[in-house]
Amino acid sequence: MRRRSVLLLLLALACLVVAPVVHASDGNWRVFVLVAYDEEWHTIANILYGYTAEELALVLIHSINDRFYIFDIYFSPAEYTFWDSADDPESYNEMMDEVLAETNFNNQGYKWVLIAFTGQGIPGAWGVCDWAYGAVLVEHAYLNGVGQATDNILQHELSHLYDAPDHDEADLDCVMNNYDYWIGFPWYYKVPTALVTANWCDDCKTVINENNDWWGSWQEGGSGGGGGTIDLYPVKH
Amino acid sequence: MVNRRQALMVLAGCLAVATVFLAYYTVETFAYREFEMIHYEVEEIDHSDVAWTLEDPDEYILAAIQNEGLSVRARRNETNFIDQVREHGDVWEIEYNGSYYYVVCLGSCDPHPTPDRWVLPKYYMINNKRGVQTQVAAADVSLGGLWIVWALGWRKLTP
Repeated sequence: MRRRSVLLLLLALACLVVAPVVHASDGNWRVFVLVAYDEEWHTIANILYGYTAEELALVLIHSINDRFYIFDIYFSPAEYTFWDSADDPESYNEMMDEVLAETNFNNQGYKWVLIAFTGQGIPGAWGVCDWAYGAVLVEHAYLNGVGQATDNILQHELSHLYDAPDHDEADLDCVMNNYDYWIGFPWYYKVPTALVTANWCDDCKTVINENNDWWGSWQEGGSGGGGGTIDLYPVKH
Repeated sequence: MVNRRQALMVLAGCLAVATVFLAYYTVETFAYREFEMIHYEVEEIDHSDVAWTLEDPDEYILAAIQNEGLSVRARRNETNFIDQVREHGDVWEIEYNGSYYYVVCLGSCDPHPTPDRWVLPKYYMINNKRGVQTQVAAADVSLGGLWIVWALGWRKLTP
């Protein structure tokens, strides 16, 4: 009898200890995403990967969700739209302005973000982030000596939305690091370190964790949906 | 069924495509652009007959020399070393304080052009002749070998 009481007491104590932990992770900051893609993205998805444009976008966003999971952030594609990119843009700014104009994106009180995918080269850039609009523009990247790097570019740009800064530091294993990474024989060229690592440094983890409420709204019950939504309007700046 | 002649035609087509890609890559590598950022990285070399003496180094090339093997980034309008290189006939080997250096140089855009925009820049080679020469030579040899194989096969099959 006494032994049973002790066991019950221990079980109750265990529940008290575990309950807050379970509760803390039982939900996430659900960020609705308007996904835009252009004609070149559509072609690459079809020919290179055998996916539709939307499927390829979804695969990438899912892989990003696996990385942002540690911050209780979940990007949830809610709408897809086609974006007719100009074939010969002068600059990355022009391309970003074009996608914002064509999608007529409205971030609805910082609840939504725009992820625009392009299959053509962004002049001078792998990706662009516009903090004010909550929009990122990402180029499809499959590089010699690196492989597929589109997910890392997306991770880098989305991290900027949470105020993670760029780094320029040799040997720093962080997806926000722009320091030149040397791709050796037989390719001989350099890319930002961001393209070859999916990790964040501790500083970036702290910043993103502190700002994880900047976009989206808190959703109880994890990524599977369900539960009530608490409509919070995060203060961004 | 695909006969050997058709297979060789396919091979020729693949070679032509590879050649076009290589040509595009080479042109792209050396294309002149207006860069906002310049990256320097130096490597000490034993000696150079073509090196010119660096007498008035800007702080960025000096930092690159003092931190050999590390890439040092400068705003284009704050560094004049690249202008000095142009004045010396695009020679990227320099002599400074009795030592010789080879300079690798890249160009890129500004990663933070406005307060609201962040950019993950592409890096373009302004000077990396050693690496590119090796790569182009290796690719040329490979393509040349394949063309010879194709030509011999074609000749053998042509009556």
